[in-house]
Amino acid sequence: MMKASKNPSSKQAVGTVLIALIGPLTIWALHFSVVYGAHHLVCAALAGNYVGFGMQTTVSVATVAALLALLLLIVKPDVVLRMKRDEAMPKNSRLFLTDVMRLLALLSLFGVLWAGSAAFFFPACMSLV
Amino acid sequence: MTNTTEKQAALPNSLPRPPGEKEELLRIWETPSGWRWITAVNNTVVGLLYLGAAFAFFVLAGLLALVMRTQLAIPENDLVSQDLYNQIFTVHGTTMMFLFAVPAMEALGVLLLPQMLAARDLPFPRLSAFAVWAYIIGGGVFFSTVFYGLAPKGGWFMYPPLTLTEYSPGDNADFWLLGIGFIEISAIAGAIEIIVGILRTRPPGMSLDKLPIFGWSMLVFAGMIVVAFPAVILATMYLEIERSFGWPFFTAAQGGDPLLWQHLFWFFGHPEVYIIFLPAAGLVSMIVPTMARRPLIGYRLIVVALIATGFFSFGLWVHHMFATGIPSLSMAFFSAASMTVAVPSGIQIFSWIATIAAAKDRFRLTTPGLFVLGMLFIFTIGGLTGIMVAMVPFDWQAHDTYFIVAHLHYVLVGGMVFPLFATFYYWAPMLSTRMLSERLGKWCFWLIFIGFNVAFMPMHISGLLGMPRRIWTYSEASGWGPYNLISTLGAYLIGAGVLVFIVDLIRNFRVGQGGQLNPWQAGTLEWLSADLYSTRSIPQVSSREPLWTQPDLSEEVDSGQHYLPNAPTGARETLVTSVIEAKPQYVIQMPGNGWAHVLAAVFTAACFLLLTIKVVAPALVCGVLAILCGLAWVWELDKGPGKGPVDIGAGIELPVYVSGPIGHGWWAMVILMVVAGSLYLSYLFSYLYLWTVAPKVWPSDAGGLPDLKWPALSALLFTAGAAFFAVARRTLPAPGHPHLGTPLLVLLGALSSILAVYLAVGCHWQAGLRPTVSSYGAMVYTDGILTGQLVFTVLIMSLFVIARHFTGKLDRVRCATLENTALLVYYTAAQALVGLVVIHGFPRMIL
Repeated sequence: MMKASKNPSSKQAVGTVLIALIGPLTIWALHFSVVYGAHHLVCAALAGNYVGFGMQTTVSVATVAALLALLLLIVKPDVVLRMKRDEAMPKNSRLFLTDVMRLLALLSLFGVLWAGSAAFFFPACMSLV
Repeated sequence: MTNTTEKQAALPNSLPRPPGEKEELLRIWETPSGWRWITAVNNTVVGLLYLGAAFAFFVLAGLLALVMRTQLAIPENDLVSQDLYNQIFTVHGTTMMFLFAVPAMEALGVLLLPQMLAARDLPFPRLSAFAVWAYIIGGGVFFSTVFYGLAPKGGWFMYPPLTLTEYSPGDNADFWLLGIGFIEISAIAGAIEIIVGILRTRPPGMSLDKLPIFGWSMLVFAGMIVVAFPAVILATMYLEIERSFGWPFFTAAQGGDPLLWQHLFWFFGHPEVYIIFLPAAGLVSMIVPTMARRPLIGYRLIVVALIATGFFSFGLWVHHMFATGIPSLSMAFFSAASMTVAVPSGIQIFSWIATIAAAKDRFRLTTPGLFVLGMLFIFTIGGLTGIMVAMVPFDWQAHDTYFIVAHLHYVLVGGMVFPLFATFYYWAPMLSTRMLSERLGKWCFWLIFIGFNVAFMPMHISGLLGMPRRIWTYSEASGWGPYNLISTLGAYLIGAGVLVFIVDLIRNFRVGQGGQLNPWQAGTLEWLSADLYSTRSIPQVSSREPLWTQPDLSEEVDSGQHYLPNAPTGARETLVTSVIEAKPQYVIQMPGNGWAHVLAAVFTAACFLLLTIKVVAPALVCGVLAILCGLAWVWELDKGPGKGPVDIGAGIELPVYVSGPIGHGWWAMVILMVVAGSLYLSYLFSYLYLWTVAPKVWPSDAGGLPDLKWPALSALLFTAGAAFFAVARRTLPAPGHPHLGTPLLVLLGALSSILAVYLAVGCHWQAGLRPTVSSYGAMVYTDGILTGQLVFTVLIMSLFVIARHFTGKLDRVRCATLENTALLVYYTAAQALVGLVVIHGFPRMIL
C-alpha cells in the first residue's frame, strides 16, 4: 500500500512557497516601510541642516541594501531557495518557483530603485507648497 | 490487452464501481428542501445565494446612482434634499464597495473554486455559509437605513472630524461603523476559507504551476483581505469608541488627528481597489484562452503580476492624501509606488492582448468575449488616468473633482463589473439547465458599454472644469449643465443594459444539474460533468487545461475512475493535498447542513445592530447566544480518527484525521493569527503616528507612568499562560485514559492570561491615566482592549477544550482543538509582550 506524503515535507514546502512567492516583495515592502517610517519619524523628531543629509543617507543605505538583496535573489536564487536538495520536487515545480521569485525580484528592484531615488530630488521635510 | 483496457488499468479506480455508490453520494450531498434550505452548506447553493445577494445590492446601489444622476441632470434641481442626497451617495459608495464588489468576488470563489479544483467543497463550508448569512442580514439592515433617514452621510470613506458626534449626531454614522465592521469580519471568514481551499484541496497532480489563474488571483485576493481589512476594522473601532465614549483618537485638541483615520482607511481602501480587480482579472484570464482556443500567453508572468500587484497596492495609500500637506519626499515615495503598480497591471493587459491576437482561427466574439474586450478598453483608460493622478501636481488639480469620479468608475466598472458580466454569461451553463441568450447578451453589452462611456467620459471634462464631487446641485453659470445631462442619459442607458440582463436571467436561467456540458469547449475542470457532490471522482491532473489534454477525462471522472469516487466515511469528505505538488495527504471529514452557523450569524448581526442603536442589554444577550451557537457548530468539527484510513484509489490509503501543521484547522488558525497581527501592526502604527503628531500629550516625566514591576509581572503571567498550554499539549492522555492534569493546565493557562491583562491595564488606571483625557490615554487602553479581546477568546476556547476533555473527545491523538487553542495562546502572549514593551518602554525612551 502507498502511504500519504509525510508531514516534514509539508513544512519545508510551506517555507519554500513563502520565500519564492513573497520573499522578493517583502524586501520591497521593508524598504518602503523603512524609508517612509524613517522620513516620518526623522522629520518629526529632528530639526536643522542635518535632517536632509540624514534622510539622504538613510534612504541610500536602505536602497543599496534592498537592491543587493534583490540582486542576490535574481543572480543566485539557489542561495535562498534550496530546492535542489528536495529530490522529491519535480523539475517543473522547481523551475516555476525559481522563475516566479526572480521575476518578482526584478519588479521589486524597479520599485526600490524608483522610491529610493526620490531622496535626491526632493527636500527632506518640506512640503512642495 | 487493448489500449482502452490498459488505459483504464492505469487510472486510480477500475470499473465497474459497486452499485449504489453514486446514489449514496447524492444522498449525502443532498440539498435540504423547503424552509430547511437555509441550513444548506453546499458550495453551489451557498455560492449562488452569495452571488445573488451581491447582485441584488448592485442593482439597489445602481438605483441610488440613477436618483443621483437625475438630481444632477439639470442645474439648480431640487428633486431630493441635500440631506437625502448626502445619504444616497454615502450608501451608494458603501454598498458598491462593501456589499457588492468584495462579496461578489468571494461568492465567485465559493462557487467556482471547488469546481475548478474538482474538490467536493472548500474545507470550511459552514464558515462560508456563516459569512453569507451574516452578510445578507447585516447588509440588508444597513442598506435599509436609507429609507428611513438613518443612513450615514459622511461619504463612503467617512472622514472625521465630519463623522465625529459633534458634526454627525444621531445613529447614522454608527450604522456605517458597526455595520461595515461586521461585514468585514464576514469577508475575512470567507478569505480564510479561500486560502486554505486553494492551497490544500487541489486535485492530485495540480501542482502550483498548473493552478488555474483564477485560483492564483483568489489566493492573492484573500491574502490581501487578511492583511488590509484589519486596518479599517481598527479604524472603525477607534471612531466608534470616540463617538460612544469620547476617547480622543481624532480630536486634535486632545492629541488626536483626523489624518490617522485617512491613513488607516486608505491602507485598506487602496488595496481594496485591487482586491476587487485581481479576481476579476483572474476571471478574464480564464475566459480569454477559451475564446481564443489556445493557452494563455505568459502564465508565469501573470502569476508574477498578480502577486506583485497585490503587494505594491499596499504602498499606495497616501496617494489619496496628496492634498493634506505632507512633505514632498513622502509624496514622492507614494507617487513612485503608484506608478510602479502600473507595471504588473500592464503585464496582464499585454498578456491578454497577446493571447487574443494569437487566437486559433479568430477570437470568438461571444457575449463573454465582448465583455472582456469592453473591459480591456475601459480599464485601460481608467489605468491611464490613474497614472495621471499618481503625479502630485496633476492630483492637486483634479483632487476631489468629478475627474476622480470618472477615473474611479473607469477602473472599478472596467476592472470588475465588465468581467463580472462576462462571468455571468460564461459560467451560467455550469449551473443552469439553459444558457443565457447570446442575442440579449449582446444587447446588454452594447447598452452598458455605450451607456458607461456616455455617462463617465464627460465627467473627466466637468471635473477639469472644477465640478467638485459629492456636490448636491450647481449653478447654471458654472457651465457644467450639458456635461451632466449627457452623463445622466448615459446612466439610464447603463440601467437599461442591466435591465436586459435581468430579463435574460429570468427568461433563461434555470437552476439544475448544469446544462450543455462544456459549451465553450474550455479546458479547465469546472466544465467536468458535476452534480451535488461536485465531481463524481477527483481527477489526476497533468496539465493546466486538463480537458484539452485529456479528452476522456469527463467520462472517466463521471464513471468514478479517479480518486475518492465514493464516501468511505459515510459522510461528506474531500481530499487534502500537499501545497506545492498536490500529493494526496488525507481526507477531510466535512460538516453537513445545520442550523448552528445560521443562528450564529443571526445573533451576531443582531448583537452588532442592537449595539448600533445603543440597546446594550439585548445586544449582549445576542452576543452570548452567538457564541453558544458558534460553540455548538464547532463541537461537531473535530470528528476524530474513528473511521480509520480509507482507500481513495490507486492503492493509496489516507488517514481521515490529522493534527498539527498538516491539518486544515491549523492553517486556518495561522491565517487568523495573521489577521490579528495585521490589526496589531496597524495599532502600533497609530501609536507612533499620534506621538509624532502630538508628542506633548505623552508623559513628560516618569511620575505619570506605572511602576515597572507591574508590566514585568504581567509579562511573567503571559509567558506562564503560554507555558501551561505547552505543557498541557505534552500531557495529553492516551485515548480512553483521561486525567485531570490537562484540563487543570489549560485552566491555569487561561487564568494566567486573564490576570496578566488585568495587571497590564489596571496599573495605568491606578497611576491615574484616563482614556478620555488625551490620545495617549486612548492608545494605552486600546492596547488593553486588543489584547483583552484575544484573552477573552482564549478563555472561551479553553473552556471548550476542557469540555471536550470531560466528554472524552480530547486525547493525544484527537488533539486538534487543543493545538489550535494553544496557537492562539502563543500568539496572544507574543502580542501582549510587544505591547508591554511599547506601552511601558516607549514613553520612558523619549523622556
